[in-house]
Amino acid sequence: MWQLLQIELLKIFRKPRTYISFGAIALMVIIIQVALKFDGRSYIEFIVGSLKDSLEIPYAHILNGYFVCFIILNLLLIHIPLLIALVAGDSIAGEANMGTLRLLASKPVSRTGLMLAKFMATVIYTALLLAWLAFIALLLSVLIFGTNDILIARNDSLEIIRSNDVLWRYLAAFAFATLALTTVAALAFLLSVFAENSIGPIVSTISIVIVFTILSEMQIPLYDRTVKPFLFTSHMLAWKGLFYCQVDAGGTAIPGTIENIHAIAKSSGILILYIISFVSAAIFVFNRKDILS
Amino acid sequence: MALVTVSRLTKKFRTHVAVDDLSFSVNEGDVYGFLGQNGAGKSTTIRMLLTLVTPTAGHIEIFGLDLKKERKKILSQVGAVIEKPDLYKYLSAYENLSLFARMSGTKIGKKELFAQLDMVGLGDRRDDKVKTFSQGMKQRLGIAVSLIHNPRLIILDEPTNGLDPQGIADMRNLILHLSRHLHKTIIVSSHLLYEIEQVSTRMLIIDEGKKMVEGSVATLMDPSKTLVEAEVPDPGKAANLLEPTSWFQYLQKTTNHTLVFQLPKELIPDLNRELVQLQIDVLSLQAKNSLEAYFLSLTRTKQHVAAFTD
Repeated sequence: MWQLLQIELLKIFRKPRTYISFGAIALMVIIIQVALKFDGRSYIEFIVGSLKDSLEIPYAHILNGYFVCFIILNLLLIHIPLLIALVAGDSIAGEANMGTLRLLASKPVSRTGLMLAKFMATVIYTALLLAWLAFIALLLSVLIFGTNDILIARNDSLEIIRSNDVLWRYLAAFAFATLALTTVAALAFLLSVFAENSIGPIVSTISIVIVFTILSEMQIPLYDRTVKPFLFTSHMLAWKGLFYCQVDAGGTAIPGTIENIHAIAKSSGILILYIISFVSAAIFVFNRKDILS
Repeated sequence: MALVTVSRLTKKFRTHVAVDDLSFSVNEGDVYGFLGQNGAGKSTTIRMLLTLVTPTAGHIEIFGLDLKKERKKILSQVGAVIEKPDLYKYLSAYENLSLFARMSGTKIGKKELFAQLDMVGLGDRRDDKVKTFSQGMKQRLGIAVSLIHNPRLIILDEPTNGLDPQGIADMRNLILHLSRHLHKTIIVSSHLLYEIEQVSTRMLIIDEGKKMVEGSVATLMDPSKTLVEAEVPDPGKAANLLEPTSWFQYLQKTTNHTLVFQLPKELIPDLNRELVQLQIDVLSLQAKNSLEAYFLSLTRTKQHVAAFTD
């Protein structure tokens, strides 16, 4: 298995297409950082809304590396699934298209082993992409903007988390994001088994993520109970809960706490179930597939 | 000793029967020609031998082991090139070979990999990416991949597809080298009669998924059934002139430009003399190989056989 995984990683990281994602993330993050460096005040005014008229907003303190990273994650974690689909959707269908799938499947390795190695390689790619995002969005932002307390805008209030209480939340958020994006990778992986070229599974994955995200975001009571709890996209955004603290009687955030850890654990569990279901289905189909490409 | 035994193999794709109750056996040391037109079921059969396609019915034994139960053990001793040798274009020849060698489950050192690339004439291009290779070079690299783990059985599905004449000759020589000097058992499928005739010791002819005949090439290539094409200006008129003679019994058919005879090889000079005596202007006289004649005789009633002769 280790040997197969090494081979799959070699194939992913020798393919030029793989680096499009890393380049795209770097480009997007830098664009956001440049924008906030030169016009961060406008963005903060937009967040605080009418509060700026009644409170004195310390713009210089709010616009720090932690805050910038939070903005970047908010903006990008919706779009990164598209980049994940580029590699995961290519994993089987791309091989079928190149004609290498028949060579792989005629080697003395089990099809299940081959699929698991391919999926694990995709998970490693996803984790590395997130690590790259963490590096460039968190570390670079901290270097450019410095550190300070972080201001989190919630539906009806603003929350301040102390700077010494932020880093572990980011590490947990990146870990959760890896799980969330692995779900997308597993979906693309499953769709990839049915196709003979990678365009189909990539576009299908993106389409499903877009439709599900729209459904997750729609404020329709009927869907709130019947549809949303079952959509993986509804649970992919649970990372934000890591930045929502319990508050004391005076309304101040209590350091080291998470307001609803059960909701995050539940979302993690549901995403893991999705991953297991998608990958199991992919292996089941692939084991019975006649390779005619 | 039978190295491969296929019993009553059938593959259906929904309503289409690609392979129909096919049985054959390949002996150790054979170069086993697998012959049939495009769509006859050759590739589907080969894919079943390699576990790429699941049979609808039937049984395959290789090296005396049940393919269904001992898949990994069997495939570790099988090398294959299936149609085009598609490899990873963004990797070098060496990387491709190394990658598939590792997948074969055998520990193979750098020296052996280099030697294998040298053997197929790619030693000086080993660090070049496959995307820069010609079809013939890719085919040779595919052969290297199929041989790197020193398999007992080599399966080549249409190995000359897309090759230029020199590439076809190289492939033929390579197959003969593998058989005669390295004593490999080889199954080679093709729709090209001539190629199979040149390299095979035994052969199977299939059509519409069914076995038509299996046997040694020497037996099947009966010299009493040589096919001869005489190119003449007016085949209809020439046929009329031949009708009263004893040569008419050998005439198989006429085409737009030729008379096609089937007759013992030693009668060709007499036929030539008779045509001249009948004042038929012979533009060319060509003896087709006897395998082609044999194939034609097996499938004479079928319209598509004309593709082999016209």
